[in-house]
Amino acid sequence: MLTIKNLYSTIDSKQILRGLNLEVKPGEVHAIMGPNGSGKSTLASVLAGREEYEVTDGEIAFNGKNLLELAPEDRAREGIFLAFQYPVEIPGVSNINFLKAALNEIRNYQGKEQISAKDFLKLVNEKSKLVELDGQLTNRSVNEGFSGGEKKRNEIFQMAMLEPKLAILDETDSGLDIDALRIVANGVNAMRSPERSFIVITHYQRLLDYIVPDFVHVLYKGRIVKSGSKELALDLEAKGYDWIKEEEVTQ
Amino acid sequence: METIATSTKEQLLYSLETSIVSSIDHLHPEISASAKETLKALEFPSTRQEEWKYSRTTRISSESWEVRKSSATYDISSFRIKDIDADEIVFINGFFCPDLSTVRNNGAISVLPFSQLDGQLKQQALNNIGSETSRHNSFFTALNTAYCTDGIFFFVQKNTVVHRPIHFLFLQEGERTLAMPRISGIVGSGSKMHIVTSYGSLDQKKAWNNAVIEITIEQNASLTFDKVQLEGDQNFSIINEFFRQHKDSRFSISTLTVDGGWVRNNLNIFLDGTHCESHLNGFYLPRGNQHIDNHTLVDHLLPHCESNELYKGVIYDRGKAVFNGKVFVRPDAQKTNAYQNNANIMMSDDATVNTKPELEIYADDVKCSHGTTTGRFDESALFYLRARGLGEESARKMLSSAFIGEVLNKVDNQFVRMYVQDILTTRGLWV
Repeated sequence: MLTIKNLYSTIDSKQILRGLNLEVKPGEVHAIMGPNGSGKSTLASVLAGREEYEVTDGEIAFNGKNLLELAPEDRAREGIFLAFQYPVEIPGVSNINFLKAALNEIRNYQGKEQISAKDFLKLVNEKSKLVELDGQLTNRSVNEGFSGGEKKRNEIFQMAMLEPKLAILDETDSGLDIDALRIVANGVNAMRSPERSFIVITHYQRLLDYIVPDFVHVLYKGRIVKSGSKELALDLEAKGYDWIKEEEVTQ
Repeated sequence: METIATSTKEQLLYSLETSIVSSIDHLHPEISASAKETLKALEFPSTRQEEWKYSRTTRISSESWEVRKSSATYDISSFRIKDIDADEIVFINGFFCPDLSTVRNNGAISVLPFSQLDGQLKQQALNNIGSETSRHNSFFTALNTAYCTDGIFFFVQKNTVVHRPIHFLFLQEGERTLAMPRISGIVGSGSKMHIVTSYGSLDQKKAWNNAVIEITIEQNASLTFDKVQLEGDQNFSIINEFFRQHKDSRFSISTLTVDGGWVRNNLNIFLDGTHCESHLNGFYLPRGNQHIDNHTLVDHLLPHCESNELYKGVIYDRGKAVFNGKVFVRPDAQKTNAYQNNANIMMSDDATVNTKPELEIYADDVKCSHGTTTGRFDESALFYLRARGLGEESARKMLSSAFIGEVLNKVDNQFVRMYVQDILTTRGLWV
């Protein structure tokens, strides 16, 4: 589904990603962990198409398409979803109206019919329950005045509404208390399917107790330096990142 | 240069002198005579004057204009506001058109052309007109007084709720016509009313409108005023508005400039009583080569009043916007709360905005603030929307709708709001 080969990326001429490789197959959940500044959020931003990040080398193929040639909206329409680490507040833009417009533009791109008002509302009701998001919040301006937890739940709600093929969760667990974390994880788990893949970027092993990954990768200095099963996350939790850094140095 | 400017002014005045008798003369010939004296002493405004620094009037003064009653019949239905159930008063080329208007006079409210005023109403109209113009001898206001094409006076008796809004439509047709309509009115003490004014071109030909609106809001009265500007690219529009508020009165005005080739709004509000409340909101969306200038004055004369001002602009293409917001807090106006904000979004590299807040505060126990921002879209918001699948164009439209939506949502009347929203939608400016 997603193949990243030898990816190099810079922001403000600063080299962040240095030859990153990753292969994600349908239905898989990949966790990406790593110390601060290792390039985790850069990877998420590059995948979603944030223009400040320049790709200087390498390639990304998504279901056979060259992702790097696509505008951010076309990546979303192809089925990529980024749950933001810091969801943006957009005063005056209604959460619901914006989602409806987005959903319809995606459907249009995919050659599907526009969703009817009735079906849309049904979908909103169903999906907002999934993350226990208050109906009031869905009607408000995008993220405006939302608490940290509400913002993250809103991200997962949007993901559930747009039903992507590949979802990238960028530190969705940071700033969440354990109850909110459970709600968010339940929402994600409900969406797991043999066709849908996830890249879960996190700092903490805690999230992976709830969203159990198929693979864990350690990102360090812009490259994946170690990959393993979910047990790797436990090792990292117990031992920290220093041993990985040392391994790097000895190599 | 001096001689050319003078001769332009004199040509204009001469042509008006020979073609029109001010409709104010019916009230008292002295008023227009004194306005003509004023005009003799004043220069035709030019960019040399601070007040007109950013708005070139040479495009007006270099044309020859004609006052002309319309004889054509036009379909004006697109200017009517659907479902609002308003009394409509239609002016074409500055002349009142009784056939197109619905005026329902009753004991509580009188709405009459100047020419039909009599007795006590005539005296009230005279006082209302005399009081404002004698204080404001600006060139264009004096020009309207001297050569007013037609005027309407309204009077709302005290303690009256006027349920039906009054919608004044100022339309123009024909090449190089000059309209100088005038609305003069008094909202009696304890009364409440809603006025809508709209401005438009019937044939997109070159025209100049120089209107005066002067309204007194008496003690404890409340006036909501919506102004919808829809003029053509060939139109020059100078709207001179004067609102005087007395004790405990409330006033709210929304200036929604959707279209206009060259627009200058002179909005003047005098808080001439204690405990008054005033809200001024506006948006402007100059596109192509449009030039939209808003000059506002909020004059706090007495203590314990509050004013709130919010103007927002989205400037496209080679559009130009001017915002000049004067707030005076006079020595007697202690405990004043005055807030002003002007925000602009530039949609192109060729767009221009000149914004200038001017606060003059002569009292020491007041709360006043002003702010102005001019910039581009918040890139992070744009990316967020695009990352959800919205195209760049729709995302921008959604953000600009939200930006001016803050102003539009302050319009109380849902039919006015819908009317403007529909027009913005057909212009591709609203989602």
